[in-house]
Amino acid sequence: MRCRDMSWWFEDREESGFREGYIEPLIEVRETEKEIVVRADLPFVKDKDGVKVEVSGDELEISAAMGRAIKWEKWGVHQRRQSYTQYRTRIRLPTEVDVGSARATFRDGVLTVSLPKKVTKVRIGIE
Amino acid sequence: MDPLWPISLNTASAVIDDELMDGITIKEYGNISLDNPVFVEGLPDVGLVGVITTSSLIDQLNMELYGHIESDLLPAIMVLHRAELLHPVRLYASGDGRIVLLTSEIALMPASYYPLAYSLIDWAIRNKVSKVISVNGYPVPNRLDIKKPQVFGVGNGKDAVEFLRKHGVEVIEEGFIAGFYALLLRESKKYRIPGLALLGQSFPKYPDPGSAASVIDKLAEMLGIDIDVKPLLEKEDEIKLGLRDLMKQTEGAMRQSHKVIEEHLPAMYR
Repeated sequence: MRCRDMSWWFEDREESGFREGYIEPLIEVRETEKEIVVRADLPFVKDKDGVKVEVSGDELEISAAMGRAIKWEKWGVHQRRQSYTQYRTRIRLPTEVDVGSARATFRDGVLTVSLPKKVTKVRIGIE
Repeated sequence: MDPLWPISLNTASAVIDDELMDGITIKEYGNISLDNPVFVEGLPDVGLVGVITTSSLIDQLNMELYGHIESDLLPAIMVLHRAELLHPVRLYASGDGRIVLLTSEIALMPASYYPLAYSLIDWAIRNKVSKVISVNGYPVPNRLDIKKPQVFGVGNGKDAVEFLRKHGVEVIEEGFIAGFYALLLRESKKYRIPGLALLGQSFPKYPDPGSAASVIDKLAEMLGIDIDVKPLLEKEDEIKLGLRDLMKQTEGAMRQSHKVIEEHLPAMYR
């Protein structure tokens, strides 16, 4: 029972997502035939005014201001007295998207960004 | 912000039970006499519904730390609360010994699922557990459109299914279930312990206190206890942010335990 491989447990988990002054939000990316839908969970963000979404080619950047500063006074050495006021993240999208047709909504603390895929497939007529 | 887990610092230091089975040791402190308890499992899974549910129960029922799980299959991690060194996978019990629950502050490796399930069911038999109830999330892509998440149920036998229906829980009749709770249902069925799972419609990858509130309402009705979910819903943002790292860990475990199969249609073979 000893010497089990536990490497997977630590993969992608060494970074907690709590960075200097900002937090990386939890992100969910779903891909359909026609679009990519990115959802970000943004607790403490009260309305869409504090949320900024930028997309270019195959990259999406989200930043959002929290309604207040969140402090961990007693939690761990690294985060002690650390205060957070915003979320920030940059995501590499699985494919290029049609930037002009992108839409975003913010509801109940969840940001939803719908990004139609760039049409790269055309039907060729047979002569 | 304070940690989510309420901790009783008045914990018994002497460990009276030390059963090793399949590399898993369930350590009990002997501070509470169990009385045909209901065992509630709330390990990290979809939406961390189990973790949030068990944490609320510990808080509102003033449950005491009753024991912990030790194993080489768990990562070498301990947790500090109010300067007290604690094991991350812990058992709590109600003062009357009628409810025991299992919760965790870390994601468990799927390699630990089988031995942990075997050990828990062995423990359940020895302690005359009357019912095993898993509390969990049921991933739904349109969770944003759902104001009050519905609770679905899975039973490990006819009696369990009838019990769920008696309490107005819609029983899942076709489909796959995956993860630790699936194994616990299988093992409890094998040893004829009534077992069921309460699954709240949940965000797949975000902590979901709203889903946990629905599950708690149903669980409280089944156990005949009063639990107020209002404090949970008032602290929703705080809970979601506080659990984000555990959610990230849990995503890795869910990928490994084939959770995606819960969205698949089962083959028709009858």
